[in-house]
Amino acid sequence: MPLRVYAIVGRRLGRGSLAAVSRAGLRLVSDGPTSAIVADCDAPPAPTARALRGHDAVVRRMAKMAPAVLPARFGSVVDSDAALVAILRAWTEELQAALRLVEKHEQMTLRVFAPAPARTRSEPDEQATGVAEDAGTRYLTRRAGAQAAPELEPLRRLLAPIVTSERIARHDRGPLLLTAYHLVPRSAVAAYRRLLRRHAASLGCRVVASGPWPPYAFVPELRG
Amino acid sequence: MRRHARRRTSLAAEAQAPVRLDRADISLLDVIDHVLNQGVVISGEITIGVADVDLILVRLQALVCPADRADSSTTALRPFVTARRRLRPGA
Repeated sequence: MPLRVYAIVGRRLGRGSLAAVSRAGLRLVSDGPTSAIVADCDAPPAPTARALRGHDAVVRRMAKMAPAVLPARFGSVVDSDAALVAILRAWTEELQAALRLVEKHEQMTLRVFAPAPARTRSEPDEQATGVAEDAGTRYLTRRAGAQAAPELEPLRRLLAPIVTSERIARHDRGPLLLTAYHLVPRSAVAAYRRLLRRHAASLGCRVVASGPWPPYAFVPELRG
Repeated sequence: MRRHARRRTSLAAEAQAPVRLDRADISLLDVIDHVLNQGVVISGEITIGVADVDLILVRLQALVCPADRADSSTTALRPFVTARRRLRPGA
């Protein structure tokens, strides 16, 4: 029977939590120190607003029960328990490392907007640079740029003591310049929000912050 | 009337503030960005079923513009509707 995967957790849950998982129509599939929170399903889920919010709601509920949770992407479906166990086993090291990173942490998401009328970014083209860039070079350039985010520097210095890890996504078109995902200890989320309120103006850009979220952006890439 | 005017004023002021702190559940676009664009990909690709037609998920980049969130949420969901129409002409 196909399984819909909601999240990966690092430890076996306590009896009370297991009962809560079961009441929610979910169950665990485990391999050694790694477990997945799953539901049996007949078909891949349709991406309705209700289903998307429902997925997030389940992940949040799991995040309350376990000290570390790695949210699965919506629509993650595997063919069977056995198939999922094989995946968990193949990626044990990467999953455990990610679980250690996110343990007792939450994610804050910052969206930084251009202060003036939208500036449209475009990829450097042959005419501008005089150099033909292949797809691989463009990809690497984009990745390097994604992590740079100099716009955040004034804020980054202030947040550094309470941000464990950061991921940056740059956007090609304004008004949204970039999105920063910050991994913050649960105990420091209130302090993070206070710092943001006090110092966001130093960026000279508008900032919309949301959170805390489960750590969606701090999951490993299981490829290859 | 005064209460509505005060609320409009405070919302307008909030919209102009350097930072806006949203509750996590307030924006559908934020939910879309997090659950569709991120998270562990357990299998090689994500298959989403829409009206019995399998689609391969294309990376969805959510543009969140605080000035017109109500319109943005419709825009963000439009790719799914468009895809369904492409695959089922005449629907």
